[in-house]
Amino acid sequence: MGKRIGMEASIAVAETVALCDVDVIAAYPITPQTHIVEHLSEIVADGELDAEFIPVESEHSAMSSCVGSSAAGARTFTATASQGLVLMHEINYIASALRLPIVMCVVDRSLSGPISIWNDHSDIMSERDTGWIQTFAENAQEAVDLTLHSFRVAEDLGVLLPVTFNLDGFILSHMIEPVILPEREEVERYLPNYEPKIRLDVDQPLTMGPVGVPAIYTEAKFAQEMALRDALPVIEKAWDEFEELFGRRYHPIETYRLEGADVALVTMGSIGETAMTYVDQARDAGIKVGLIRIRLWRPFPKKAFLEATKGIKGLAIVDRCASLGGVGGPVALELKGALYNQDHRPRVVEFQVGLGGRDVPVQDFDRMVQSTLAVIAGGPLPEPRFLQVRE
Amino acid sequence: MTADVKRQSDFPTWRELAIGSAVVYSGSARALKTGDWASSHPVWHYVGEATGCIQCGLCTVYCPEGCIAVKTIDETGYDLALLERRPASGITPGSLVPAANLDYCKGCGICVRECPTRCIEMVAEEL
Repeated sequence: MGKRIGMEASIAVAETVALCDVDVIAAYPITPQTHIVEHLSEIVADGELDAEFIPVESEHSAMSSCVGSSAAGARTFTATASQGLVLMHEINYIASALRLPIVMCVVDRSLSGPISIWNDHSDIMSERDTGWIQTFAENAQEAVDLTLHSFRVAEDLGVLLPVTFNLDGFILSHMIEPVILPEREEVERYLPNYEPKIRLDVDQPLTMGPVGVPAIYTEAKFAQEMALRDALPVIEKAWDEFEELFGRRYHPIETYRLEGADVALVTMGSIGETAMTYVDQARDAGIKVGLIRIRLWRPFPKKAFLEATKGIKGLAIVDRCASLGGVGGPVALELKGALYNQDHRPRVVEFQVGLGGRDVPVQDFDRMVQSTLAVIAGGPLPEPRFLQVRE
Repeated sequence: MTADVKRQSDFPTWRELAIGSAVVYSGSARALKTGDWASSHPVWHYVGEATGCIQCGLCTVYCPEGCIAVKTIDETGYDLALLERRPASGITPGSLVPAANLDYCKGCGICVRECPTRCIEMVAEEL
């Protein structure tokens, strides 16, 4: 096992991508993702990684290049954020429909406007339905581990889907934290060489991305849906084997001090670490609260989520994204959708917080939990709201 | 509706599609019968009619689908029954005539527009 060192999360991700021996990196620098591709371009320029680094003119071209290189059978990586991710949006659907195991690190940042370079999840939520596998890291070590896991899952011949793993912009991407980078031999054991089922090959011509006439499109989309659903056991198995090799354990839904809890906070991403600090303080104060952290967002692990909510009276759902004009934030909508037809349904109180980089301190979690406790005690259900807005 | 259901059954199930809906064999465009889209198709008027086909072949050049060929009437699979309703056509077995392959003719009418003798007419598909 590698040595524990202090390293910026972005640099740790770039180092791990290089250890994964990628063949092609096509990327455009955008805040707060820049350090990842910047560092990778140095690694390639220094001759430490034998890869093609394509400095494209936009993210639309970045993902288009990734589609081409992955279709040719190359292990392919890119990273982006915010406006860059939504500029890729059109091609992201194509990458998943073509079943190309591209790995992308999204360093989550809010969308303009107003212009904001700071963190929330509005960029990745716009990619919710693109058919990519999507995971979230809470700290630098998890970012390193999810880098490895992403390639392993994407290239599994039973999956062959693109994967995006998410880091919160600045809050996580720019933090210097203790991390253990894997050794090259460990990476080689965990991540076998990629052998595609089909690839662009002049000697064996084929067509990728043909027109899907009305008599084909439904079947094509259903095949994609089934591939994403069937990826779930492979994702879990890849985490099982990760634990055997590296000793760190991941689950699609992770819980913290949920035993005997009346209220559970639900978080996704780095905010979960602050929530754990809150839960520790609240438990000391006698408040029966625990935490549910969504590690895997797509395919959504419905069964594991429902299992985690058993016995919970109230859920305080934290959305890092404003969904305007709807009935709630995207995470809250998803979870309420999963719960609706269940016999046991906790009351759900939802909060849209931490927008555009607004800090979410421990006290804010207390406000959310107190509000949820009031609801399960019979109080009125508050309208979904921006918790931190100044009236 | 019945015709549509019958046609659907000729297509693969979701399990039968190649990964990523790739087409892993060549010549697949032939299987896509774009003639399904047509609401009308071209018919040529021949020698002996007011304006007759002079067999210049321009229609074959302008056809965006490349589905018009000048062939002997026996090779074309042309609708002889239709010709029989035009006794003045002067067409006999062995005559050279242009004909559209209706499996692929989308009924765009460009041939009608480009024909120098205005001898082509669009005929509505029978329902």
